[in-house]
Amino acid sequence: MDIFADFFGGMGANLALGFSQAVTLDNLFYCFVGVLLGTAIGVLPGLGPIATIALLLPITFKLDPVSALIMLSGIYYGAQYGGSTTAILINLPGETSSVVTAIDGHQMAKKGKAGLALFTSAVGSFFAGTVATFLIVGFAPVLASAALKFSPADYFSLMVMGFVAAVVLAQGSLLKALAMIVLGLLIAMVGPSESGSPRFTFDNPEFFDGFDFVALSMGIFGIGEIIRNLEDETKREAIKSRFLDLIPTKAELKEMIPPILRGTGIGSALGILPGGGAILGAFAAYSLEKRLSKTPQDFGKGKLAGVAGPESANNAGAQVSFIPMLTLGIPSNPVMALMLGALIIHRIVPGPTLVTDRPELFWGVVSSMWIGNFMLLVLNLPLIGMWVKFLTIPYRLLFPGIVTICCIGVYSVSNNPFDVHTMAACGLIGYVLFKLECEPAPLLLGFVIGRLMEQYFTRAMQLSFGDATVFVREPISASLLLVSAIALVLVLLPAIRKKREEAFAE
Amino acid sequence: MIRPIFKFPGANMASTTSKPTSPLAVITAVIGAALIGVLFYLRSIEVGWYVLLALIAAYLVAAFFVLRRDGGFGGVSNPKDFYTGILLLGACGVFAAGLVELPLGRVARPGPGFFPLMLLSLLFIFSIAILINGLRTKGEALTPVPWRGLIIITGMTVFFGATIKGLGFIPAIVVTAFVSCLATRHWTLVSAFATAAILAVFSWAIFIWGLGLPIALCGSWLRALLISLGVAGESIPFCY
Repeated sequence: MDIFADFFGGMGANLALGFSQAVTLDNLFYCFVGVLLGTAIGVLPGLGPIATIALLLPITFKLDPVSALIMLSGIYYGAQYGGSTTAILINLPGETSSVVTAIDGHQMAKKGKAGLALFTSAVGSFFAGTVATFLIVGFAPVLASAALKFSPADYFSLMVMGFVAAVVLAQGSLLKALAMIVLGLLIAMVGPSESGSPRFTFDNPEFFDGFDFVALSMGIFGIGEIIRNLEDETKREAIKSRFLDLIPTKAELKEMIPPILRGTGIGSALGILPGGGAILGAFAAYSLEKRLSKTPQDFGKGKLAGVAGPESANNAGAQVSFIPMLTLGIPSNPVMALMLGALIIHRIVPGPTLVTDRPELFWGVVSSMWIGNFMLLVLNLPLIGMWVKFLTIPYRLLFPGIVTICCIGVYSVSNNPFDVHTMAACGLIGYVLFKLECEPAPLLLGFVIGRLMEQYFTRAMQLSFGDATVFVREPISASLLLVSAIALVLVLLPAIRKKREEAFAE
Repeated sequence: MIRPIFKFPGANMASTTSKPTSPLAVITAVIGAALIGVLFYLRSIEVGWYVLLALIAAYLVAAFFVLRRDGGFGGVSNPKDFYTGILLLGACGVFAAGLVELPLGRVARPGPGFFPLMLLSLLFIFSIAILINGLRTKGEALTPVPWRGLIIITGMTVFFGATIKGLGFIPAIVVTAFVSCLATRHWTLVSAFATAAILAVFSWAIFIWGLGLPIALCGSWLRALLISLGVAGESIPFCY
């Protein structure tokens, strides 16, 4: 029983510390501005959460780390909610996880129930966020203390598993996704090596510090996206609907509660997996709702449960994926990679020691997550009318602004024009990757983890005196690698089996 | 027969069905990646590099003959994969050129080139596999490129980087925003001017006035120009 008392007692003390950090007038203001800006940018068509966060990242540089992180989480929630709004109103999901929302959400909007869909999305997200925050409070310290026992080899294998999970769950070609990760890792190698000697710089002094993370992500997800959107300049019509129907009836409330509960459960469970995060949760919640429903044929035609379940799962998963990022320093999806990059810019290196070394930061961020979610609820529901106005801005007026803000943002990171040029090059690369149907997200993931992975690899090899079997001899590392191998085999097997069928046919 | 969990309504949705993958490409990638692992292990028991190179060469030769026996290249039937493979091979070449001068170190004390070498080998294997996939599966043709937008957007980004120090914050933004407006065919002179003006004021308010970024509003070139024309003296407000 003592363990439980400790567990919950610690939880209370930690939360108290966190709220005392987050609930200052300044931080509440930054959280508010973050949510507001995040939603405002995230709601713009063609800008997904990754682009939104990358775009707004520079404005947090001036703040102290706690406030910056609080603002960033605000931006993150705002961006996610903005993305859902775009998905529901104009059927233009900005990221994979809101693809599921768009299916029934947009149909609801077409039926004039856009307000209800947006309300469900906000309430579901808020509830899921609240539950997930408590999960983080409970589990993050446990995971962190377990992670302290991890050896470098274990860490290396954990990263491998993270990559495999990210690749296996991604859509599109598996081979290309793997190649993108390795390419990202290689790009991360450019710059100083651990001993300080330059690598892959070709004697160009601009390369000596490596590529700037903000420039890379803004190039690929900001500039690249613009070029991509200029390909198809057809007009997109937002659903014009009166938003008086925002408040649901009692029957509708009753209808949305069970899916929200189930979605939260699924999302939290799957969110802790590296790689999966929000995407898998949303898909799983949707199919579960469809299975459980008495009228599965209504799904895809504007079913409330088809919005409530995935949206809750999406948000729970997104939030729970903070756990591996903060405690292990391993981002489980591109958005977390971006957050990790932001932390590193503020000279905070997430890892198992963060909870003990910087408790005020850790718990401040955790409690600000809840505050961010709450603010989202009270801010967005009244302002929905305004966000809809944002949606109607035609793209031809938007993109010059995005280009300009990207340029200023990247330049402001270190007042270095080379970063802007890196961004231009990465924009081209991002567009080419899109053209060739290569997912750029794994590349970003690889780029963020690259140096850390090399460090763990080198250390593991040094500790084992050059014995490569260390990765399969240590139990934790071996089981992580085994899981990755099984996942890869399960995905690759169909392709090889097809080969056998073809052989038999001949 | 496994039924898909659900199908997406609407064609514009992202599809979860995996892209066509050639079995040979998968086998190439799997065996190749396994080979890299074996080489890494052999190297860790200090087998000479020549043995390892010979193994890689033997693998490539074997892969080539399997490919020939197995129906050969069917022409570029999946251009997206084919060009991905080519581009990745190009990237391999660039990184290989940089890798040459890096000391590999010993396995017990890996040098700066050790990890990159492993990555490069993996990337090489995957590039070959994707290339094979491009030759042996059917895929969609490439869609046209919006050259106008592509050139203007990247061009203006480069322009901004090149002139932010010389022209300064406001002129660089005005030009960048104005010319960016021309990236779409649906532009009008009025809207381009308005966009440029609004963006200049807006970015000044957020980045200079609000966040206090240390960027000169008008840069060194303009300052020199104004002074040489005699329009202004040595101290011009906001020019440094």
